[in-house]
Amino acid sequence: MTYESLADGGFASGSMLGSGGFIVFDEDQCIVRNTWNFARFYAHESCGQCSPCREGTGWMEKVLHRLEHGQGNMRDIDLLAEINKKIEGNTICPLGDAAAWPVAAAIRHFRDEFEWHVNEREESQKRNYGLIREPQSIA
Amino acid sequence: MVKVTIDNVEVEVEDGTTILNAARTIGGEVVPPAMCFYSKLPGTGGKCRTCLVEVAAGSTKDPRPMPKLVASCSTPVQDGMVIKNKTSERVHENRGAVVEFLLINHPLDCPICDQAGECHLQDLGFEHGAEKTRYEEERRTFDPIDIGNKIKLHMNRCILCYRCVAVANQLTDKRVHGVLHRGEHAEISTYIESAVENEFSGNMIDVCPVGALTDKTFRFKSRVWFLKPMEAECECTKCSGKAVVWQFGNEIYRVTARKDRYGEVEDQDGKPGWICNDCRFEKKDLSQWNIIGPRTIDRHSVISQGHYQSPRTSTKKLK
Amino acid sequence: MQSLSNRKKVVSDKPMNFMEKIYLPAILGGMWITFKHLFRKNNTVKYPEEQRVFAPVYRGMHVLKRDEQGRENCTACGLCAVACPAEAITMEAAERVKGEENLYREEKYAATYDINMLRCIFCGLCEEACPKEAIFLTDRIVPSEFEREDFLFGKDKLVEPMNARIDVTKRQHTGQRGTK
Repeated sequence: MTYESLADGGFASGSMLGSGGFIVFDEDQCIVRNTWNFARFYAHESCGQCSPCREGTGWMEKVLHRLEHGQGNMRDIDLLAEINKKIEGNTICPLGDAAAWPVAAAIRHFRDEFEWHVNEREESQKRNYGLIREPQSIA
Repeated sequence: MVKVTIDNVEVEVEDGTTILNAARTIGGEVVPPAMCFYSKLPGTGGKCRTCLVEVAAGSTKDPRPMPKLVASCSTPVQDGMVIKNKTSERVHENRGAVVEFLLINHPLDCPICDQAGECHLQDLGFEHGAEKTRYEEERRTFDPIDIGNKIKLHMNRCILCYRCVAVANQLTDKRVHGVLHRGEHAEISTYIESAVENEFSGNMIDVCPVGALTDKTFRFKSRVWFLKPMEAECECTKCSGKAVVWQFGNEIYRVTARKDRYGEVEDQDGKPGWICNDCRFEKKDLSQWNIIGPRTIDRHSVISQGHYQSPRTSTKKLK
Repeated sequence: MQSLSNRKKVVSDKPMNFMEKIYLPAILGGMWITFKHLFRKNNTVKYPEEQRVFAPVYRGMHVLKRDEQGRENCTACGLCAVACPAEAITMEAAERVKGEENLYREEKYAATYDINMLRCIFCGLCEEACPKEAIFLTDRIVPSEFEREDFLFGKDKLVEPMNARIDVTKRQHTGQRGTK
């Protein structure tokens, strides 16, 4: 496994190896929950200087929170894709880009999981994934 | 001197000028809107991202386009740069997105807000905003607080442009307010609501692009479009004494600095025409002012509905 | 010049003949028309015993609405006054103090609100301009008065009373604006 083999095809079809580090998930992991976790991290870390990042990361976190907790709808998935397109490249520092890319990649590669969370709301709440259910909200 | 092309208009500007200032020398529609940049306050800009423009060609030496949109307020021009503002679809789209971001946590209480009618966010939203919000969550809310006995802070309306912080840093000797927390939770506040008492602290109100910082002496007294803006002068030892008094009949409802068409204070005697708190808050009597004449108001502004036309400046070509 | 619509009638001053001079045929013709109208359906109603149905968008006397909880909607934003072509509306705003939350919906309210009904032309632009769904024109008719001063309607006459709510659900702008 080389950097090139993972990044093959560029960001569009391959994966994005920004810093060269990666996390391995087994296939039982919930992508929506993980994406929410990333978004939550970036919303927490955003410094709040420039508006796309300040408002956008928080917004993405809230939408993903809603999706993950079975209150989302199909419109939200497109909305998420739209938001991260608008954050990307419009911020001062790369934190905005970094916040947008995992969400964009997750929707591109695992859109079916997002849709499943919308269609099977109750089931998605019952099933327990690898990540623990706590904490429920960001402090 | 360098030559740049902005929206197919060629202009020659000093070396090191920012794109925004180069556009302002042309004037008119090619000027990108700016919410956080304030030319009279060094160090502002780059934060709101409404002034993003597309650079179609970097310079004569290296004519490759810049991959990202750049903030025109903080990017210096280079010789042979080709910039697209109004003519770029990408700019329009992303500016709309920035406006949406700015508005998701804005309370949209324009009917209440004293800034309505001269609010830059209103203008921006009018031009780029969507009809309906896609934001379903609760908006961020704060209680309005008093900063001193003359200024009211509505943090709900704040877009965190940091202009008022720059005013406090640069115009007053001791800064007692700033931005607390970070990210979505960032807010302008004072140190335990302590008063901001400086001779020039009132200029925060003038630089605020939205209605976050408003004049308490004018609070809810009237709407700006019912007032008559008159240029006036007074004897003042602290400031230039040149201001605009907003009259209703023969009463002065409020006093502001003279602002140009970008909402920035005009230069008076070669210096930015900041006015002191005495002129702004205390001198509310006509006898204290020497009225010069009506102020020219852009005819697209709602304030112009009173049809105050200045004979002195009406023939002057508006830039 | 040739008439474009072909409806032009040329006036002539030719002298009348004998039949025209005695006027009797013309009088009888007029009487006949009058007589025919006796058997026609009445176009008038016997007001006030009988009243015509108003259109739901009829523009009559204004009302300042309250919301479901009885709080006044008006925030004295001044948009009705600036929209008013007749300059009939004046108002003064005041800040809501603690304890008045059940009286006024927002932190600013109209302390006074006057409409000069003699100036008002009932164009409905105030209703159209209102961002808060506070002012509506209704199907009520402005009562007649003897003094000019009595036509200056203040908040006492304009704000809808809690025990006699006025239905504006059929107005064009009801529910059109976000009230948040």
